Amino acid sequence: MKKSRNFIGWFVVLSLAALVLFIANLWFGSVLINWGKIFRVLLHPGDSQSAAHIIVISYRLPMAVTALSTGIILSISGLVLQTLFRNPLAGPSVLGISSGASLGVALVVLSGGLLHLELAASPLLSNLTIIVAAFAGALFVLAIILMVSARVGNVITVLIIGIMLGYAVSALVSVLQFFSRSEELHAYVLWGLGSFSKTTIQQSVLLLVTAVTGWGIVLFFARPLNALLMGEDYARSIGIPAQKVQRILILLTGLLVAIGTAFTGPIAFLGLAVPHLARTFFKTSQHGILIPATAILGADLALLCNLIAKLPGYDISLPINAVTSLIGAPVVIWVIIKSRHIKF
Amino acid sequence: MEKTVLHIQNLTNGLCLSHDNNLVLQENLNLHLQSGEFVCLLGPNGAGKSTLLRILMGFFPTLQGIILYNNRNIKEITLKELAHIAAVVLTDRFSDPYLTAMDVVSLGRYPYSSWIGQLKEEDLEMISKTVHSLGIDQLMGKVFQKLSDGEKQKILIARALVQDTPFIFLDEPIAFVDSPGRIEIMEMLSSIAHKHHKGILMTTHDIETALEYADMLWLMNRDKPIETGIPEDLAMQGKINAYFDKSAIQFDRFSARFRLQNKKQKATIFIKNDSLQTFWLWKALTRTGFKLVNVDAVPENGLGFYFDKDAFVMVVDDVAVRRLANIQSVLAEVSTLKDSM
Repeated sequence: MKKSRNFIGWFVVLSLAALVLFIANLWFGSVLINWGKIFRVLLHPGDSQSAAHIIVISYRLPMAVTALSTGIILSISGLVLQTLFRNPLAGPSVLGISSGASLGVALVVLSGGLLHLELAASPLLSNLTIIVAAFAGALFVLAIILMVSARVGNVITVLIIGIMLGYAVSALVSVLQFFSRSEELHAYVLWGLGSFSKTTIQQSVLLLVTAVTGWGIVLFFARPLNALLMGEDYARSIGIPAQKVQRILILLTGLLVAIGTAFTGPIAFLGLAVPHLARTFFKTSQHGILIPATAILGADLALLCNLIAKLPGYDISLPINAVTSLIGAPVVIWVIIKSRHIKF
Repeated sequence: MEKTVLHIQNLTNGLCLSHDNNLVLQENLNLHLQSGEFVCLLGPNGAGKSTLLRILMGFFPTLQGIILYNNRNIKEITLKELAHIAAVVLTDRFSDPYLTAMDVVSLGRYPYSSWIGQLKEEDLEMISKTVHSLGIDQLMGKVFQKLSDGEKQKILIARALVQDTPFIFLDEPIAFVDSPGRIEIMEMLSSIAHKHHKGILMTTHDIETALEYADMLWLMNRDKPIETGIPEDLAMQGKINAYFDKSAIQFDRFSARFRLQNKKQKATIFIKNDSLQTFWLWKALTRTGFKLVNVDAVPENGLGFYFDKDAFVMVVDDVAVRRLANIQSVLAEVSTLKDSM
C-alpha cells in the first residue's frame, strides 16, 4: 500500500535525523572534536586518558542521551494525555506534575531563607538532592491526581483538577520565592529554565531505560487509545474498561514526566507540540503509528534544541527551555498554518 | 435461525446520581426484544430513552429489576462478553482531524482481535462486505470529521454491524440528518434487522418516520408506564397522543402527522379528492385552515374544487366558475372569497 510505504519513508528519515543529530551533539560544543576521535572514544569507553575522552564521555554523551530520552518521554506523554483528555492543548504540564517537581525543588532550594539556613552554599544542595526533591514533589501531586481520578469518574474533571492543582502549587512556590534570598532565587530560577547537562552518564542511561520502557508500555495501549478517540462509551461498548485504562495511563505518564522532570527540570513545549507535528507529518490518528512517530520526532526535536542551545559557542549555552519555546513555537505555528489540519 | 432474546423484567429506568439519591424515570418496565425485530423507542426529550439504552449496554447500573440476554443476567456478563452481544451507535461527537471512516469501522472488530490487534484477513473481508452492502465504499478513505451527518451515521452503523452482535442499540441516529438521509438510514436499519436477523432498538423522537419503518414501538414518557405495540395499532387506538401530550399539538390519526390542533377553522370546502393534484391541494388547504370534505360532486350552495385535465376547476353553487393552473392561485382565490363572505 502506498500509505504504509509513506510511513516507512518518514520513519527512516526521522530515525536517520535522530542519529545525525545525536552525533552532532557529541561533535559540537565549545571545543570541536574531530570525528575519528569521537568514534574511537565511543568504541573504547574504558580508556580515559585524553581530554577528548573526558569531554565526550562525561559531558557530551550524557547530555545527548538525556536530551534524546527526555524528548521521547515528554512527547509520548503529551500524545497520551491529548488522547486521554481529548484535548489538543493537553501536555505533560496539565496534570500539575511538573509544578509538583518545582515545589519539591523550591522547598529544598528556597526554604533556607525562611529557616535562616545557609542552604545554597551547603553540600546538601547537590544535584542528587535536587533530583530527589523534584521527584518527590512530582509524586506528591501525582498521588493527589490518582486519588481524585479514583473518586470522580469523569476524565475531564481530572484534567481541570490537575490544572487547578498546578496553579495552587505554583502559588506556594511564589510564596517561597518571595521569602528567599537572591542567591537561592537564582539557583531556583536556573533549575526552572531546564537543562540536559546536569546528569551523569549513569543517570542519563537510567533516563534512556525509562524512556524506552515507557514507550514500550504505551505502545501496548495503542488500540485502546484508538478506541478512546471515539469516547469512553464507545470504548466500553467494544469491551475496553475505559476508566481502568485511563487510570493506568495517567499513572504511567505521571511517572514518566516525574522522572524526566526530576533530571532536567521542567521542559516547556515539547510534550504539547511534538504530537501535533507527528499527526501532521503522518496524517493518521492511529496510535500504532503515532506513538513511535511521536517518540522519534520528540528525540529529534530535543536533540536539535540542545544543539541550538550550544550555538553561541565557547562556554555559554542558552537555557534549553528558552530554545524549545523560541524555536519550537514558530515551527508549530508554521506547520499549523501551512497544513490547516490541526483542528479539533 | 436461532433466536436471541433480550428480556427486561421489572426494570427501574433511572440514574444513580449519588449514594442515596436516585433519579427514577419509570418503574416496573417489562419489555422484550428479539433478533430480527426493529423497535423504535419513542418519547419526548427527557423521557429517559438514552438512559434506558445505557442501562441495557451496562454503562449505567441497573437500579432495580433484571436484564436478561438469552436468559443470562447482565450482572454476570463481563464487559468483554457484552461486546459480543450488543453494539452501539451513540450521540457522542468526536473530531480527531485524521481519524478516517475506515479507522472508525475497523474498531468494530476490536472484540475479535488478539492483543497485538492486527486486523486479520477475515476481519478485512467482513468490513469490506458490510461496507459494500451498505453502499458506503467510497466513504471509507475519507476523514470522518469531514463527512455529513448522514454519512457519519452510516459509518457508525457499519461499525456496529461489523461488531457482529445479535443486538444493535442506536441513540437518535436520525436526529441531525436531512429527510432523504433519514429514509436511507431507516431503510438500512430495517433491512439489517430483517436480512441479517438482528434485534435493533433505536431511540428517536421522530414519530412520523418511526411509524413508517418500525416493527414495534415502545412509547415512553416520564412517570408513565411504557406502552408497546405495532405502530398501526398504537396510532389507531390514539395512544400516541397520550405520550406526546402537548395539548396544542396533536397527532392526527388520519394523516399520521403532528399538527397544531383546533386552529379556528375557516369555511368548508368540498373536494373531489381523486388524484395526485387534489391530494396536494387537500394538504395546502388543510394547512391554511379550511375544513375539507371529500365528495364525488360538489353539492349545491357549496364551494368546491376538482381536477380536470390540467387545471383545478372551482365550483360555486354547482357552477364551474374558474380554471386555476396551480395551487397557489387556488389559495389566492379562496382567500379573497373568504374575505367577501
